Amino acid sequence: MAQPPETRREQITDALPSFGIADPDSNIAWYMLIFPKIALMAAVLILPFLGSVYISLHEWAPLATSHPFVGLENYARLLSDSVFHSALINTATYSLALILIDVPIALGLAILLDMNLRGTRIYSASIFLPVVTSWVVVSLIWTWLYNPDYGMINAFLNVFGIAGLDWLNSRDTSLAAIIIMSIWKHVGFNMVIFLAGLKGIPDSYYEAATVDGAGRWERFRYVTLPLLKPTSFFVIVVTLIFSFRLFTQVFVMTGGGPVNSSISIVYYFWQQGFQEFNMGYASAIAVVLFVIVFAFSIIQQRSWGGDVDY
Amino acid sequence: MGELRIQNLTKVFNDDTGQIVAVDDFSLNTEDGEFVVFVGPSGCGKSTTLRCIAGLETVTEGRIFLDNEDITTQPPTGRDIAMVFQNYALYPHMTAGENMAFGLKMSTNMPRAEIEQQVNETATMMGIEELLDKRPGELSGGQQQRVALGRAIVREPEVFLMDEPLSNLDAKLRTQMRTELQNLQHELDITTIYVTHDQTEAMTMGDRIVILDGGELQQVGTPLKCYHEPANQFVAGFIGSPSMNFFSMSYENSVLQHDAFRYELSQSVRQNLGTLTGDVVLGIRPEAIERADNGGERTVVAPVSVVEPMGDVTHVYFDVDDETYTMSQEGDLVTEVGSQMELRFPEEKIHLFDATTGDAIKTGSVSTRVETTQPTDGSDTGRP
Amino acid sequence: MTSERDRLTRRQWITLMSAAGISGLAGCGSDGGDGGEDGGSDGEDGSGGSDGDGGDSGGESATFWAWNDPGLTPTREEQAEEFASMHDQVSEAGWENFPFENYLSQVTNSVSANTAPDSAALSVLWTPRFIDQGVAMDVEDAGLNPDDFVAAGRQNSSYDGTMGAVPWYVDCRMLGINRADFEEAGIEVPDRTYRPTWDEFAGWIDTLSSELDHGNGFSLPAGEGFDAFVLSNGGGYINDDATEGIINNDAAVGAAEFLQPKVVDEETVIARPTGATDTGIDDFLTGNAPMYYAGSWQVPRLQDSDVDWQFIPFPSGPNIADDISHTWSAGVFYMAPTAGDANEEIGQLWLEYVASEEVQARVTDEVGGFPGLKSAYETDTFQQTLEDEPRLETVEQEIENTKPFPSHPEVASMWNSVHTQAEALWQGDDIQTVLDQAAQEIEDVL
Repeated sequence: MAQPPETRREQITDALPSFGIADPDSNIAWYMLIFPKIALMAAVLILPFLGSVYISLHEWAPLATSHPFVGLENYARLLSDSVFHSALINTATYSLALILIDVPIALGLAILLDMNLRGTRIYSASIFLPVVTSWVVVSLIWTWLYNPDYGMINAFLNVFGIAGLDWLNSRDTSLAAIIIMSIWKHVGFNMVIFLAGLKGIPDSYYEAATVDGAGRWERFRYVTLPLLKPTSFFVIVVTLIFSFRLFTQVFVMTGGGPVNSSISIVYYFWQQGFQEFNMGYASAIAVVLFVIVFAFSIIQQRSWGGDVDY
Repeated sequence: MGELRIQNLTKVFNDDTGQIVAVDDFSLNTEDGEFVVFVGPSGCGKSTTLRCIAGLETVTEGRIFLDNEDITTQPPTGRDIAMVFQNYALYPHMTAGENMAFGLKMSTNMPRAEIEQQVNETATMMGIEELLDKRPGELSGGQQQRVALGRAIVREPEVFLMDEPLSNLDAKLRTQMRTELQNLQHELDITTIYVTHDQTEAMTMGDRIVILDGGELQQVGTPLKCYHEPANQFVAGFIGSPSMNFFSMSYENSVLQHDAFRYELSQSVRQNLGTLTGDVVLGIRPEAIERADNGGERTVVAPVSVVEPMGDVTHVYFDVDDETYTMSQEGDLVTEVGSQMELRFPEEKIHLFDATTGDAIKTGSVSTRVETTQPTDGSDTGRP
Repeated sequence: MTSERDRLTRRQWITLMSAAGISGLAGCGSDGGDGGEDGGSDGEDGSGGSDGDGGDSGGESATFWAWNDPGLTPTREEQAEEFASMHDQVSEAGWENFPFENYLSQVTNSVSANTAPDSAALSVLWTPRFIDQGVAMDVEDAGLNPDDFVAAGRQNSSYDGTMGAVPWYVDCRMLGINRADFEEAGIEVPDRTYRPTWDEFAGWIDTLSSELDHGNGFSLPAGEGFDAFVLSNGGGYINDDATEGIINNDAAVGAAEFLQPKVVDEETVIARPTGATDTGIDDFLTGNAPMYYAGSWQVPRLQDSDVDWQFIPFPSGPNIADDISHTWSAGVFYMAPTAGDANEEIGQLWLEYVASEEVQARVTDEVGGFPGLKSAYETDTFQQTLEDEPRLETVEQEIENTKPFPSHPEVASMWNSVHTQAEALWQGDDIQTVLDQAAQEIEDVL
């Protein structure tokens, strides 16, 4: 690749100011175009975020008359807070599981559906249906499915003589149960993106590869996978960001338990901020979460549009 | 060796609305090293035939042989065939060099170094060695075209298949590449099936051209043979630019009668026609029409509607009985729009076609004029 | 500024904006469904009326807040209506209901955002916090005498010598037993006021679980149920002078040692985790458990069921001196905010209304709780309610034996700590380690 992505992106930005402006060198229009977004961002994101940073440096109870400045004490406390560690580890585990399980399954399903077999439409609709269903509803339904006494999952396992698990009530399985349910709920979303990516690969590449002597696996390995790289990257980063928002399932299904075995960063944040009213501490959690997600976003932005273009 | 033999090839597509016969009972024999052009309007089945040869489509009926080996049911990977696609289909994530090496990597056990050497040799021959490290996105259309050709050539296949490879280029580049492609093919001496909808390409490039329409083979022959002795009205109209003029006539009492004029046939032609009577179509190429000054036999008087000077020739459009026809005259002759023109249709240059079947009854008497530098072919009837 | 630099800035801007946008989606996404986490916006329209735009009728409109509780809502609506008709200065009175999970933050935010209701229902875990912050009206300022209320109710609504809320009703915990199951298992159904010992209770569990198909003897909430056994063995969260956590003392360890094998090994006791959809009463009403950790407020639901039920006092542990078991006292408390732009006059009138003998005497009949006001127990209305439902006899007796929650602003944190650690007990963790951890977490907030 002779031309680095830097150069190319500059060309794109270069074209921006010329939209409907008499003097293409003028910067005013560019700022005019960008201003509403900046203003909106500032109002709904940046200012509250700066507020969070400010609060995180204080001991902050909502009704207290004074909020003593504590410096980085809240952050220091996070370092030794075992519950926060659990939340961090659980969220990362959840995230990793989604990347390693959800994404490949989504790709596999997308490839199956891309083969235009009979009933494709019904399958894709049924796989996508959970995506558009409310997380709360799905979480409740799965809570029943996981019920050790009358849940369908244990009933199903019993058919094969497998002893059922106490899914949500056991420390060993609660996070796994949430992961399984979340993959079921979320896989359709990634599948649709993959499917769009697959549809975007012209048939002629496959035909060229076929004539070149590539078999089914080789076509997948040398044509599909590389051409899906931008799609895969998008899917992975979006899944990563999405996974760090883990809250609703935990809230509805386990309340973070048993013994914090399924507690997530956002859930702990909520618990600290809105149950126990340690706003300063909760803000510190929020800031850490923001930094993590922001880092992922930057990685995504940096790598966007690079590498493969066709 | 690259002797390709196609026997009674039929391809039927099934879809929701029913069956579509894309290729109907198509047969063709090619010799090793021959350049055969499939030409016809879109939807005529030429691309489908090509894809059947490549193995990208399954064959409904018939057989395909390559060097006497039946490859009809072989997967594409098992056929020693390379293909150049209309949009080149260069893998965008690979460099030009990797694109060219891919086929060798997939279909042979050649060591990496040998592949590289072969790619370099081909690239040098094609004059694209400095492009090898670039990706398709960084290449111009012409360069991509060359890489695509290089990718096919490097594999040294028995047969090249080319699906409208020049249609994405601009007119000037297309002309240039046409020549290059011809030279390359002659040099490599590899059997080539070339698909195009452009009759000029077909005429200029092919050793033989295969004209298809509606999935059916219309004629196979050298370009000049197809031009001068079209097997039917479709071929006559499709080959040649501007197209042949057609007049609906009725043949009675040794005379061809048109609503606007009558045309007497000579004794010898009449003898050839035998007992034929009824509707026929008279065809004459624009360049065969002559100007007449003083009436006489086989002339028509017609008003000029449009004049298109092309420089070397001028196309003059004239109206006969509300239909517009074309003649070509030398570029230095001036004709005024609206003027009346007296035209002669020389009998030796007219074609006659059966009005119902379209089959040729009489073709232009040109066989004597064909310079026999072209190899004679044995399959000019089109139907075995 | 060179144009090159300019471009770089723009690119960075765009990158930054988009990245911030995406992370914003991640951080701020309420993720649908549960809704209402976002500050006090919902409450603003509800409390608008308290600012005195009542207009021509001469009165102001009163706004009260509570968490969603369908069992209480009809009574509350009637009371608001009655309250408004009693006072000329109140033109109308209405309720805003919020999901329990968000309720506390709604109330807290409303006080700081000057959108506070004229009165808010509070759980026992929350009252000390508001009193501590100085935003709850002292009931003595409202002309009420703390001594008029039952002990547990008074203590639960007091912090640091100030009674900052009025108990609408108080409750207690008992054993709910299925009489039919007892008979089926061949156990003599105990008297309604009979207090079993742990040994006796353990014997029932063994018999019931072996005689009944489902194999369960007892169902309790994982956290609160453990508390009850600690209390009925003489333990608690903190010592009397609130200097240390005692959830790891002998009484608590004894409770854990008593329960843990039944939950973990024998699986005759079901410990329902906090997040679970099924609770003890569900197990009881669906016939999945012949005994459960029952609350007095569940009487209306039990009455509506087909189960042949009754209460008995909670079993008393070996460690307890007078052989009388204790359970938590809780209930619903009303606070009148003295900040946040609430109408204090209306708040005061409401506290008076809730504390009135007429209202208190009806509370058992209406919602199943017991009066917070001592004198209400002597009223004919209350006595009639007891006659109509003799099974309330257990409640009447046990309401005396309840324990107030620790009077500390951080009592909710203690509650969370103990209950989270209690879950570890039912996972089979080492008892002393788990309880030491809980005690440590309690001491962290003292």
